[in-house]
Amino acid sequence: MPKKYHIDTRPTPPRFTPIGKSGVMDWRTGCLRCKRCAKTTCVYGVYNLRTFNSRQLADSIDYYCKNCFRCVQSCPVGLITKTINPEYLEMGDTYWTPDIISSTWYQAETGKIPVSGAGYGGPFVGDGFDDMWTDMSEIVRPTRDGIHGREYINTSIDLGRKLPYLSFNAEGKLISEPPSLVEIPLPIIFGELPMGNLNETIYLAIAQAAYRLGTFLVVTPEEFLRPYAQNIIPLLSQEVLNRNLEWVHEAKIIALPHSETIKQSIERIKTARSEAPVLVKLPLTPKAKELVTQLTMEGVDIVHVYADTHGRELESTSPRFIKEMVMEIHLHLVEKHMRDQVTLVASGGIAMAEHVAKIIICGADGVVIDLPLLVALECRLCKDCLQGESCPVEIQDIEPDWGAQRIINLMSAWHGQLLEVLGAMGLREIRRLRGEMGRAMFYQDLEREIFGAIFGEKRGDN
Amino acid sequence: MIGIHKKQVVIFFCQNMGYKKADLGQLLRLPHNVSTRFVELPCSGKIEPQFLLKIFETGIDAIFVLGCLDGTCHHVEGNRKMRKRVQYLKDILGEIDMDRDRLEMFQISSDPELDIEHVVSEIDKRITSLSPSPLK
Amino acid sequence: MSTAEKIWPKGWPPEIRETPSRFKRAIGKYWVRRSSLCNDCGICVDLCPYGVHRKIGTKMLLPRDYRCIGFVCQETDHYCINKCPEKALTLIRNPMCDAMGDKRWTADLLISTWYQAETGEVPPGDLEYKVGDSGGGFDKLRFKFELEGERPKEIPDKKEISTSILLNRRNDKRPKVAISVPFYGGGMSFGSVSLTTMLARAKAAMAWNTFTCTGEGGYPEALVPYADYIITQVATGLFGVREETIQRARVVEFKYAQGAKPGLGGHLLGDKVTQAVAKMREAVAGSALFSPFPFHSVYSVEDHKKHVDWIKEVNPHALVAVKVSTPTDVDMVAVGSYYAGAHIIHLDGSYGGTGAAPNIAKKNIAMPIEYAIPKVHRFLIDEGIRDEMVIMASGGIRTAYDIAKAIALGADGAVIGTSELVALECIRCGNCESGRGCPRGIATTDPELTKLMELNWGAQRIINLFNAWHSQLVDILRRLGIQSIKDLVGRTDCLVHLDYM
Repeated sequence: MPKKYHIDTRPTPPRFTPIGKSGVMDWRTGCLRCKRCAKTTCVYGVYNLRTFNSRQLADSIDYYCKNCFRCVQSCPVGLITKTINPEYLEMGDTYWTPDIISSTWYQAETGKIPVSGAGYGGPFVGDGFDDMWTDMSEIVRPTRDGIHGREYINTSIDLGRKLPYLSFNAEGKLISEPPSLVEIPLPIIFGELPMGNLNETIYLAIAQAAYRLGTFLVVTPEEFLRPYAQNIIPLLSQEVLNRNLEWVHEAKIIALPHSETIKQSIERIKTARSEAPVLVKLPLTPKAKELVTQLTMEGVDIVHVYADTHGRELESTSPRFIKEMVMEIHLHLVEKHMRDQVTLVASGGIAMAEHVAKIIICGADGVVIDLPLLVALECRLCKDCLQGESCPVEIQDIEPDWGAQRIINLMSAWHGQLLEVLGAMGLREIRRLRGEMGRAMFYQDLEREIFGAIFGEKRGDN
Repeated sequence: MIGIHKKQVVIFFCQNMGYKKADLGQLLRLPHNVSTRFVELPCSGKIEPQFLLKIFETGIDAIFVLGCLDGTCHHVEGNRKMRKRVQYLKDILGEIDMDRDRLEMFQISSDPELDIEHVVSEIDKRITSLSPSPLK
Repeated sequence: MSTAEKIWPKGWPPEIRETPSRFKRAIGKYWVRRSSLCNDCGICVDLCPYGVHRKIGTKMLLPRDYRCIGFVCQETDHYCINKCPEKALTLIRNPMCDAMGDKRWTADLLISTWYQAETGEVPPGDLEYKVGDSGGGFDKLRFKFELEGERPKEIPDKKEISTSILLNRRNDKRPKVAISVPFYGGGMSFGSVSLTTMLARAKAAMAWNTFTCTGEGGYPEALVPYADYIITQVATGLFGVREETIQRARVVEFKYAQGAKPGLGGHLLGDKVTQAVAKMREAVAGSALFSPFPFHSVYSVEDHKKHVDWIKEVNPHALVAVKVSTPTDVDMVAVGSYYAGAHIIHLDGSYGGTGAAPNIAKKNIAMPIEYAIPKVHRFLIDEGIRDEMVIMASGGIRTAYDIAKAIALGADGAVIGTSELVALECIRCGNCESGRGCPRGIATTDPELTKLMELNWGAQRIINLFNAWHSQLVDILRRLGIQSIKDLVGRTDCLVHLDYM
């Protein structure tokens, strides 16, 4: 059995008071001065911990309060009331909801899986990744108990191509040469950040996290990343390739953006260094399915398909969701008998650990994440930086060690959640989850199969 | 960031008033040499008196609180309570020899019928006449 | 079908007593505020039939506005806001409703459940007490009589209607246990909830001749007087399972999985393992307790049968219930349980649960109960064994209407958990696991927090809630023209789905 993969987490408190969901309104006027004020009995000591940051104009009560309503109900004159903090509601957007952002902050701070009581409170079904449920097994199928480490569940994946078959010569000697594979212990690679007041420190933090986790960072290489060269997948444009091949010799995997001249670039790399797998970054456009097949035939080892930050198809008038796109590409490759000859990693709209599991079920081998890294570094997704404004959490001034630990904490939490999902399904290998669509239940299927049989035809969506 | 050479003003406003940050910026037509920070609150009554003083401590020149009209508070009496607090704080400002005009509460609403021109001109007048904060 | 079929142990119906909130200020949907203009004339006191306004001596008290029915009162002749001569009263929707509840348990559902627990009656006014806002499943299902158009023949006399169900439909010479209402309480272990909570549930179960379940944390001695109304659970951790606890029980439940964390084991944090809990579970205080997933001795239906046989051997009079979650092959699991000899198959859907669980599991693993019920029901019919099995559904059943819908979809009855806790004034803040446990003294073993709740108060709240539910169920049956809840099983023709109209 391989050495157990373990991620070292350490509590890493945020530098700024995070925006909390709760809005506590405490009115004072009319106070009866009870000897045992409702505020002193707060189980979480919120009123004692309360501070005010006059630079950020943030009241920490909004962050500490856990919405138990005890003070609200215990104050005899009802001086305390609660609402939702409007700043909280304004965070992010419709896809990157405030709940996702604050849960990511929690995971980056503690490294723990978000746990809560009293059932699930969200909508029955939603868009995107929210219209599928993953399976579990009991009694009639084997199960795994990986959560507390009693059974080892492996989350590593291979990057690179695998041979469809092996060839032997007349003496029974193996003559086909297996291509080199790179194994990463998590099905997650870090990607280039789409926004933010970015500078060296931020990328150093991410590179350090990639190094300590044993995974990679796909990025346009810069000199300051040299110490982490073993964990960088350099994204080399045509010009860089023409200029020098330094990174090609140093890196374990080499990335290329998709272009018209991709074939020549691949050949150039393969002649310079034949053993390193080549990754091609391909936009998820309506042509993506054909392009992936073509690239696979041309000898690309890894294809990284990317959608926009909301997981939507690019260059399309009616964009589909990344889940459907990946499913289509995967099934097409299976049909052409070449699924194992390429590693498919996807990015865009991967916001939570469950999205990793779900996109793998839909046929990807792994994911590339970008925005969650930024959120782990306290980003509020306000997008002010896109307008050239300053960052409210001064993300440019972070310490690389602090940032790396936040990212590692987040990945540890995601790893734990992947184990939960895999354990429930009775799988011990995340590699086996790829394309296992039978291990998921889709909303449309369930509706048709169960309610359709009772209530007949479903009303059209229009 | 708040520039050092500019006048610094913080404006608290209630989320139920009907305006958003962008609307208010446009509406108040603040001069360019003023750096303004808008803070949206669930109710104007949410901000505590000692916190307002803490803001003054950091060298902010003026604070304005925009609340709803009397009788329209989403939380029934938040604006009324805030008005009392602002009066109380103005007294404290006077006692510590700061300009009482640095703090004010205005009650407005997004009702188009309502003329808020006097509020705009009052805020404008206050800002232009203010000397830099003695605590800076 | 006659009233004689109903079995009521002590008096019918259980006594309903008004049991107001244990906190000083209850939360309602509306706010009534009295300004300083009030001159204590007391007109509003005489006006309001809901008891919002009260006067002691010459002084008016703060309005009990959680009882106010809100703006629908405008159409009546007792609308205090307009009738106040001094115009001192204001009525608005409680702004705190935005901060309370969620899509499944909306603020309205929480408040209406509290109301039912306080008064034992269906809430008046425009308070929603039937469905939530999740946009699917039960929240999109309606009974036909709720819509305009066709109305079935109603039964005029409520007394002719029976809500009792049998828990043993096999002819295996074991007792024909019947419960008087088509639901019983789900498993909540000692340790995860306080002893007071457990006792309150047990007392309520006794009053309504139904069951409550111990969960997997052992059988506290204090529960023994209620032994006839308690299901004991045998779960993967086997905590506190002894021969005498099994022999005491009329129903023994095997927990293979639970809806809150399907496919995952239980985890009781070290903080919650107090001396008493540790003793009950035969463990060391302060150390976290894991119950594994799954039963490591059950990997097939044959193993499962061996387990069931073991319980049947230990207690020859007990019925066996099997609690499973809802994977894709839940129908196969149900059939497997039949062949293993179980009497009850308890399906626990993925959206429910009371205990703390990873958010990823609650949201994503296993299917919602609304799909699982018809799936199992139809499969058991096709296998020709539906008449011998009892299907109990749980996991996201919040109201009496949810129970009736679950039954119409094909279950025999429902198992409830969160609703009982809400009756005890749980607000579903979800902090059961953090710090000292439940800040409202329900799901905690912290000695100080436990004191927040009194046993009799809690029991009466749950009894009241059950009363409100019972009357709603009777009303649903009456309006559907069905005499016994048993005849509602699988009657999907009584239902409509708003997406399919």
